[in-house]
Amino acid sequence: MSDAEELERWCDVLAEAFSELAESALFVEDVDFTRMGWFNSKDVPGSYIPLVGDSGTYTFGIQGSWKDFSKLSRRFLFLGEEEEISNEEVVDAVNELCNIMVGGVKRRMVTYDPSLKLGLPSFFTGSIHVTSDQEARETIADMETERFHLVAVKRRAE
Amino acid sequence: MEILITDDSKAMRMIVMRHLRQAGFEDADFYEAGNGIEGLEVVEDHDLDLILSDWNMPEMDGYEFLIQLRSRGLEVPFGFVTSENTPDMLSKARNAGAMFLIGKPFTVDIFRETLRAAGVAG
Repeated sequence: MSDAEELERWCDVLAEAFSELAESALFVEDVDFTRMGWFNSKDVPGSYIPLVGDSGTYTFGIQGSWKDFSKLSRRFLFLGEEEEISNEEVVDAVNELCNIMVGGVKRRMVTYDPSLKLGLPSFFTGSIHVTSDQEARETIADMETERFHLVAVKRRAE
Repeated sequence: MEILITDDSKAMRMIVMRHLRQAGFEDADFYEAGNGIEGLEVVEDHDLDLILSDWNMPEMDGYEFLIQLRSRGLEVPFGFVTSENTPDMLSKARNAGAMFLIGKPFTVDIFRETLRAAGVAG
């Protein structure tokens, strides 16, 4: 299996993990997914977590606008529209949601690679520069009123 | 009842607290810590009935926190609430002395059933 084909498989799993997260933690049952190549959004907020194992080095993440991340965080924290939420609280909530999502990826793939280790999340606004030894994919996740990009990056096998 | 919730995410600590209240622990006193080091400080100052801890945290993770507790002879009931809910992690947690492991994402029913099965009463 090529790196590109393998990454497609991981993207399927990432979408499954996001669906599970949306249903159980955000109470959204319908998420529409659109697979893309590498869109490479510029200056976009996002949370990312490394997942490292014998099968490869991966980074998974979720990107979205501040407005949509704020809505997502309110759902997660059971906050109403009128309640204040700070940028720090949004970052904390999105990092935790990313952690749960990538934990779901690990749980689904650990039989394939028992050595997988989950890292800690990082949140930043910027762009991901994919190097020549990396393969990257994006999946658009459309929820009821919010849209996110699910990101998967794999370092190619040598 | 005194319960410590250890997680580096303030959002997750709040959600765990909310789920515990809905699972029958509405009268409990809750304490919070952001990692194992802070958790050990809370343990020294309070007579806790239950500790719920994340696994992956900076400075001291939940596994090391549990090892430190048991090495000091502290047998407070301890459970993990973590996205690291694979069979290997569950086995590792149990071998270290954890009573249960609740995987994220979770529901109030999962909290209620897991705590009841572990013999922890609200």
